[in-house]
Amino acid sequence: MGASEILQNVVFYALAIAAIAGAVAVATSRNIVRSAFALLAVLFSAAALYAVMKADFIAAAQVLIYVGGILVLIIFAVMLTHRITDVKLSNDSTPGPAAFCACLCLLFSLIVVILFTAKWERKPLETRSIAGGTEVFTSQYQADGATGLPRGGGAFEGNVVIAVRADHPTKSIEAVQVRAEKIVKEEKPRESDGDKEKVADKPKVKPPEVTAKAVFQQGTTLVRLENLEEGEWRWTATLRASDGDFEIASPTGKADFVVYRGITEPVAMALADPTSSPSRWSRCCCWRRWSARPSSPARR
Amino acid sequence: MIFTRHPLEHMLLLSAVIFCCGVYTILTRKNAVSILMGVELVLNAANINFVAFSQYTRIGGIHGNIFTIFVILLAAAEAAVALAIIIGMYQNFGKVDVDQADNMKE
Amino acid sequence: MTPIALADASWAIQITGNAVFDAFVCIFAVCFLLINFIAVYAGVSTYAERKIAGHMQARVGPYRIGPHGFLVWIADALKLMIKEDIVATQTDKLLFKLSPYVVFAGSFACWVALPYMPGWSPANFNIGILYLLAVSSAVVIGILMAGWSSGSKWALFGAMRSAAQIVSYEVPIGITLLGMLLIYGTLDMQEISAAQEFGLPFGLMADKQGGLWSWGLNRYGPFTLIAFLIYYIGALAETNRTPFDIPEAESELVAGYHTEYSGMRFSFFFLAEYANMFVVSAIATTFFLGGWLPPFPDVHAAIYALVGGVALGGMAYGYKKSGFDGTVGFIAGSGLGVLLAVLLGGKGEPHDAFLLPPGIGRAIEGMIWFSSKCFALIFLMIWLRWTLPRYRVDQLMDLCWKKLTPLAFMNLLVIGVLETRHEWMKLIIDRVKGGTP
Repeated sequence: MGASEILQNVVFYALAIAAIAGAVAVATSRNIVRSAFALLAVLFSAAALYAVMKADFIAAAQVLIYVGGILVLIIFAVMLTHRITDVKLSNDSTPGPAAFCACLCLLFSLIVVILFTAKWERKPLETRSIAGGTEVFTSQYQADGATGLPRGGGAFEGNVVIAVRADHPTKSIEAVQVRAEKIVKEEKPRESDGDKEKVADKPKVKPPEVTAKAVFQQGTTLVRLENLEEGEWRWTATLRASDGDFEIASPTGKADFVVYRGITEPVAMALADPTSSPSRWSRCCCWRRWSARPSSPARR
Repeated sequence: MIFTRHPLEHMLLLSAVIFCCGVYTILTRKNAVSILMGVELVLNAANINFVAFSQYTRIGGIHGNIFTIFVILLAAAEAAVALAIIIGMYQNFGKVDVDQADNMKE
Repeated sequence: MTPIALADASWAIQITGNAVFDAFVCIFAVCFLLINFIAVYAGVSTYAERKIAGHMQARVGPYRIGPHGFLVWIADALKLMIKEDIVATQTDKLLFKLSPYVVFAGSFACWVALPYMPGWSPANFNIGILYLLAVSSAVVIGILMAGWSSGSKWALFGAMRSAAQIVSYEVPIGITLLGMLLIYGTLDMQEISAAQEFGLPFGLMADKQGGLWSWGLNRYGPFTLIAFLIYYIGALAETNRTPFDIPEAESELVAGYHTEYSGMRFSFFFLAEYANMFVVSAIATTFFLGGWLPPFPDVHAAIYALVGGVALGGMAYGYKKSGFDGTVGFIAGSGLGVLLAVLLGGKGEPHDAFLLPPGIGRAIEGMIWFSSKCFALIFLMIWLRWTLPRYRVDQLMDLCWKKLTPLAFMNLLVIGVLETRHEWMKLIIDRVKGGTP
């Protein structure tokens, strides 16, 4: 019925209001001790939010360290750095229009970035095409199979899930096969002297290709492409039916998605095999040149 | 009526608001301990962001959770050092007002 | 698609059809039960304290209200509730009114994670002990809030001393518990209790049900016993009990951080202190004394015989001699109980003897053992209060940081080494056999 969603929403919004009220009290309270206890409210609300997000260990660690350690330390510091007998400790602040406007601008820019630039959980747009008389919708997802990956967007792991949805198949389809091919930029022959033949005779390296297959399911079929290298990729899907293969027409042009494998992946791979060619990210790191220098065969 | 769970963006907005409150605290307060409280707000907002990305989507595994543990740890160490400095400041100058800590200015 | 499912209430019993409503009903019922138990236990605990104090000081203690003064805690509770609620003018009113609740919430939140019965806690977390240590920190904040908002410098001094003491003694407590966690390998309180069922000291004969000998404090000879003693001393300091009760030292600081509180607000602090005593005793029981496990696993009827014998013997002798010099009665009753235990002893589960469904007999037995061990430790706390003199605050801090913490660290090291005995035993045997350097 949605009751658990209502509960989640109620709990989340209540905790959010408590956290925001506490944060505003920390920022604007005229009594520094009230400010410190409002920080208590923010820290406890943050811990409760972690618990709602099912990160229970972090919730306990937050309460233990932040509330039990840092907040006690802050309160002790407040009490040790003032004349002890005042109850109403004044906490002067210099609220000016400059600071307030700066913070509003910061908040506004953050809101714009959050709401309008990244599409984190939105369902990706499905591309409609016809293959073998069946209406097929295809879309792509990130590695967890649930976060949408827009066309041309960045895949943040080396795995991508392609979803193929055919609600009314006209044929009996057995499997869906996806073939992904990395787009390798061709090296243009440079206008250098004497090297033209060498560049032209360089053997064309076959671009890396990944194929995956999944049994067709009524509704949405998910095909998982694994171990993709960094770079731009393009994929084509084929419906394997009993009477032949039907390729799903996909829009050509720019890449379907770009794979970024993070900063640790090329480091790990380079440590394992220093002779492998550095990827786009690790080319930025200076240490890579040092480690590649003695053993890289290209230099010999 | 269909009720859906709140989307990830709402958690990120909450984190943004707390971040801005923290920045406002750092910018406007005169008491050094208050500025430290603002820094704690900023760090907590970043933590909420990390855990939200890690738990609402599973891109990259649970790296967000692990980084949050590191941030909590570093916040504790930083708060201890900062408060030691503040108490030293109080003992030497008698006040913790950052506007009046201008001994090195000519 | 929602990749992560939040609010999974599948554990809720089917009362109404709606899982969320059922969850609320369960939570409410459990909290209601726990709060009532805390209130009654705290009240009876005050009565027990005054009675035990009286007998240790060669006097009778409360005697007139109820049989042997047993209803005096109800009278005390009523008195506190109808007292005038005084809020001084120089106080920070919001924080003054809020702090008893913060302190009580910190204690009460720990009660939900304790392993009362085999297999059931009100809320069993897989990070059990971490949660308990975390929410006990709320007590410190509440104490600081109370001391500050009272508007009096004596209250503030008491609060700061108390907070410093609690936070300091959390260090040896944490380290000793860490050593025990090396042995158990889990943070889950139920599993820690269950892990003390089998095994003899030093990890020998891991399949034998050792009863008393497989409890936590016997696991590695004197080292876990040292861990238990360090933990217990730290627990005394955590709950501000003598010999560490400088914050509430009646003769020195009036009443420390709760000087300005009266009536119902003071009763919350009181409740919180006794609730905290139960929590630290419960943690000690779970980690060191076997939780809900019986000391004699083969002798199940022993518990009923013991409890019945002690009660009957004590009551009989007490009624016979007015003035209740019950020591002889207790000894007689206990002796009777032990005799019955030996006579009735033999294999068999309690649900064989009584017509109870199988799980409930074991659960009730587990709860009785858990409570008995906790109450024994609380009795020890009360006993120590009226026996030992008070530590001065610098002696207290000296004890914590210069004596208990290094000892706890060394203990952790030794327990860690002993826990890897398999590996080094194997190394030694290999070297002796193989002879390779």
